[in-house]
Amino acid sequence: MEDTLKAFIRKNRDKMDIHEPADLWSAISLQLAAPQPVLPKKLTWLKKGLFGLSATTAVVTSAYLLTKNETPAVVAAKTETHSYIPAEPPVEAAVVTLAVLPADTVKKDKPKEPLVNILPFPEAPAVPPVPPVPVTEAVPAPEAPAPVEAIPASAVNYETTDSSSSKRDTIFKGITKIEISGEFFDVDVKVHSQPDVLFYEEHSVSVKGAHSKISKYNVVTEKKDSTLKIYIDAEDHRGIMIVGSISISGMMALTVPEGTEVIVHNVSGNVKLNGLKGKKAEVHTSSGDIGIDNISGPLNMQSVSGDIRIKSCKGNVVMTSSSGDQYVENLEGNFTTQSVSGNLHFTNVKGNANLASSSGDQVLSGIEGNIHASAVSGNITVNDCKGDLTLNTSSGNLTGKNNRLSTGSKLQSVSGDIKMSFANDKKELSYDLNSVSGGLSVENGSETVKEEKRLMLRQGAIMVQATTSSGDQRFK
Amino acid sequence: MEQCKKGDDSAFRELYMLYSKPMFNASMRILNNRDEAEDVLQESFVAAFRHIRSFEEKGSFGSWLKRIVINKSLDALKKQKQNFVQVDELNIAEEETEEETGIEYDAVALQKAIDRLPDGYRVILTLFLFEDYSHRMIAEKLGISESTSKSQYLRARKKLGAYLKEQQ
Repeated sequence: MEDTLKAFIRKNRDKMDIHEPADLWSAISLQLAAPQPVLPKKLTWLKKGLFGLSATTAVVTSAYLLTKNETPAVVAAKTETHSYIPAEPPVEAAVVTLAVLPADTVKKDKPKEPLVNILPFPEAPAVPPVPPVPVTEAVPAPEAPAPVEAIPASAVNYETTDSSSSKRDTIFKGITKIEISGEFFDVDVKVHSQPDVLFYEEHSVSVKGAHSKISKYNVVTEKKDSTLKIYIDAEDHRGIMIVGSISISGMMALTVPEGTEVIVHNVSGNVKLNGLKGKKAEVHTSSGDIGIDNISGPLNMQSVSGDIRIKSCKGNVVMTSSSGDQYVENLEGNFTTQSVSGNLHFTNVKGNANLASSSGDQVLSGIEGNIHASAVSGNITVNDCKGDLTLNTSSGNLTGKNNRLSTGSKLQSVSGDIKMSFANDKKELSYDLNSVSGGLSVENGSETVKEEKRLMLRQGAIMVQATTSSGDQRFK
Repeated sequence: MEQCKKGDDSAFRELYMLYSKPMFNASMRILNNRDEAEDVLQESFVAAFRHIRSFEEKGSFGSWLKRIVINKSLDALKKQKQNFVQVDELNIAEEETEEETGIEYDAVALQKAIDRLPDGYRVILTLFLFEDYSHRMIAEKLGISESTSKSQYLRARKKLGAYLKEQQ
C-alpha cells in the first residue's frame, strides 16, 4: 500500500503542485542587488507594520527598511503607491528604491521629517561594503561563499546631493477637454474668460546621500483635435537606488475656459478644480487630496486615502473613498457616496443623499432631500434635515435633532441606540417602534410614552418606524 | 549554470521561472500557509543565488534548492513552535493503513486531502513520501523520536485514507 502511494506521488508530483506562488522575482532580484547590511524579508511583518497607516505616501518601486530592532523588511518590487509611516516599530534606517517621493510627504498635523534616514554608510567608497554573508543552517555546505556584489560602483553616485528641476509655460488653443495623469504632481485648474488654455508646469527633484542616477521626469503634452492630454514620462521607471533621502515636488497649473471638461488621474499629488462649468469633472487619486470649488456639472470623485472636499457646486455628485474623509458643503444636486473608514460630512445639500460606509461616521445637516444612509460600525448623525430618513447601522448610533419628515422614516440599528427629535408638529407623527431588549420611549408633548419590546403610537400620517435589537430608542 | 555563476540576471530569472512553482508547493506542504511559504521561497532563492558559486554540479540545482527550501520551511515551522505530539510508541504495528484499501488515487484530490491533515501529520507524511526522508532523518530534523515519527506517519496515513474515502 505504501509503495503504491509513494509510487503514485513520484509519478504525479507535477500534478500535485496545485498552489501557484506570487511572482517574487522582482523582490528577489532587488534583494540580490541590495547592499548586504539590509536583509529584506518578512513581507507579512511589513503588511502588518507598514501598510494601512496613512501619514506619508511614496510611489515606491521597492524599499528595504531596517527597523530599530533590526527587523528587516522589503516592499514588493513593483511600482505602486503605499501610504506609510510605521508607528510601531519605527523605521530607523532604510535603503529605498523610489520612483517618486513627494516633497510634502508628511501630513500637516505631523512633524516634518524625512521618511528615509541615512543608514550608516561609508564615505565615498569605491564599492559599497559587503559584510560577511549570513549563512543559515538551511544552506547546505556553502564552502566559503563568495561575497555577493552589491550595487555596482558605476551605478551609484556618492555625491552628497543632486538635483534637477524644470519650469515651462505653454498656451493651447481650441481645447474643450483635458485629461491629466499627474502622478505626484499637484494639479490646480482654474477658469478665466479667455478661449485658450494656459499651462504652467514646474517640478524639482533633490536627492541627499548616495544614490544611483536620478530619473528624469518629463511632462508631456499631446493635443489631438480638441483634447489635451498631459502625462508624466519618466526616463527610468525602475526608479533610483538611494541611501539617504529624496525630495520630489511638481506642480501643474492650468487656466482654462469655464466650459472645459477635466479628467484627472493622480497618485499622490493633490488636485484642485475651481469654477468649471463643463460637461463633467472627474478626479481619481490614490493618496492625494481633492478640492472642488464652485463647479457646475456632474462630478465624479474617487480617492483611496486622500480627503475629498466639495464646496458650492451644482450638479449630481458621485464619490468613493477608502480611508479618506469627505466634506461636502452647499451642493445643489443629489449625491451618492461610499466610504470604508473615512468620515463623511455633508452640510446644506439641496438634493437626495445616498451614503454607505463601514466604520466611518456620517454627519449630515441641512439636507433638503431624502436620505438613505447605511453604516456598519459608524455613527450616523442627522440634524436640521427636511426629507425622509432611511438610516441603518449595525453597531453605530443613530442620532438627530430638528429633522422635518415629509412622509416618514425607517430607522434600524442592531446594538446602537437611536435618539432622534423631529421638527414636525407632534400630531403629524405616528410611531411603530420595536426592540428585542432595548427600552422604547416617545416624548409626546407633555407626556412621555415608555414601552418595552414594542411601542405603537398612532396620531398623524407621518410614520416613524424604528427597529433595534439591544439598542435603546428615544424620540421627541 | 555558468551564466548564473557569472551573475547573469537573466539566467537567475530562468532558474526562478523553472523552479518557483515546485519549490513553493514543497514549502506549502510543510507550512500550509501562503505568506510563510512565499517568504521561504524568496529567502531560499536569494540564499541559493548568493551561494551559487559554492554549488557543485554533482547533483541537480533543483535538488540543491529543494534542500534549502525544505530546511527553511522546517525552520519556519519551528519558529511557529509547532508541537509534534509525542504519541504512544506501543502497538504501532497494529495501526495499519487499511483505511486506504480500495482507493483510487487522484493527484489533486490527494493533495487536497494532504492539505487537510493536521500540521504534525502533514509534515511527517510529506517528508517521508515526497522528500524521501527516513524516519530517522525526520526524527533528527523535528527533534522527536524515531518511533514517534513512525506512529505519526501511520496515523497520518490512516487519516488521509479517511479523507480520501470521504471525497470519493
